[in-house]
Amino acid sequence: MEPKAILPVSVVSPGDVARLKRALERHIELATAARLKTKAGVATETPKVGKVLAELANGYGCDLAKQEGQEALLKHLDTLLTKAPAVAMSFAADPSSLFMNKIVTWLRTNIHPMLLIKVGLQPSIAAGCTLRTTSKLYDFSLKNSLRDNKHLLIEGLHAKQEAPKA
Amino acid sequence: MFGKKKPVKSADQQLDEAAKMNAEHIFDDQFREELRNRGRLHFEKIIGENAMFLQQDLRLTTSQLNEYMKTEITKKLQEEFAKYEQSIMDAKNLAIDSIEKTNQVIEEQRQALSAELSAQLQAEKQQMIMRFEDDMAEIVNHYILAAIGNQIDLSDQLEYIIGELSANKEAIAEDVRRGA
Repeated sequence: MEPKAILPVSVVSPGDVARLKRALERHIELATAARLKTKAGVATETPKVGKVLAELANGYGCDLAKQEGQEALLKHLDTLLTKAPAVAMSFAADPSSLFMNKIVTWLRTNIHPMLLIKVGLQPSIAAGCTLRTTSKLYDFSLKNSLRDNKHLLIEGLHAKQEAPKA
Repeated sequence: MFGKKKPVKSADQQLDEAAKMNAEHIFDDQFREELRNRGRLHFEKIIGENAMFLQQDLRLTTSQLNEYMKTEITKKLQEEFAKYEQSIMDAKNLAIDSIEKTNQVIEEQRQALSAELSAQLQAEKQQMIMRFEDDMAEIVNHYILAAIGNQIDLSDQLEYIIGELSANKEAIAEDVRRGA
């Protein structure tokens, strides 16, 4: 899929996209109802669009005030849900929004602009994170780091053990 | 005696008669008793002497017999004792050999057991060390998690995480492209 716009950093996971899609569908329903009421001569207010949805529409260049814009964005969201690449990241603690914003920004800048991230919690990794693509698991956890540097621990223990003898 | 003529006797007859009369006169009862006594005494003397000789002989024979018996019995006893002693020595040597062999077998078994036990202990120790070394990362991680797990802030790890992501940037991008 060729990216046409950059996703807002607040849209992180496929769940966020699905939530936005539901919000857009609700908006379309309200807008359609408002249009019909206007045609019938009933004064109605134009339904308001959420901040994230507006940001996304702006990113895609879609005018949500128009039906074409709404349908185009809905199509983009469908495409995102079905075709956007996704990775799963696990942390030892629940990450803050600011933290996730930085991670998402880096990933979309350096890996793929449409990348979606499923965030998970895995307390046993203690620190760091794990990243799982469709085919591989990248373990950047403290647990894995300790495992990789196990020889240093063993050397340290042996050195400590031999020290009193000397 | 000379008044009547008596028939003349020959000289021999006269001598016989005279001897007969003298003999009767000489060997009267008293003389005979005396001879008998003398004979008895002589006989008793001979009997006594013979008895003494016999007694001496008997004593000598008894003494010799005793000596012989003593010698023979001592010899027999010595032989029997020697055999008995030899038998005891043989049995003792047999027992010592048997004990030595048993001791040797026990010692060999002890050494084998000791070696086996030592090897098993060494292997178990090595296995425990290996298991400990294998699980060391888990142990330290668990310790860190239990000790300061709640105090680790994700924001402090951002630089490390970005660094790791950057180090694997190409591989991740390739995986994502293939997945997409």
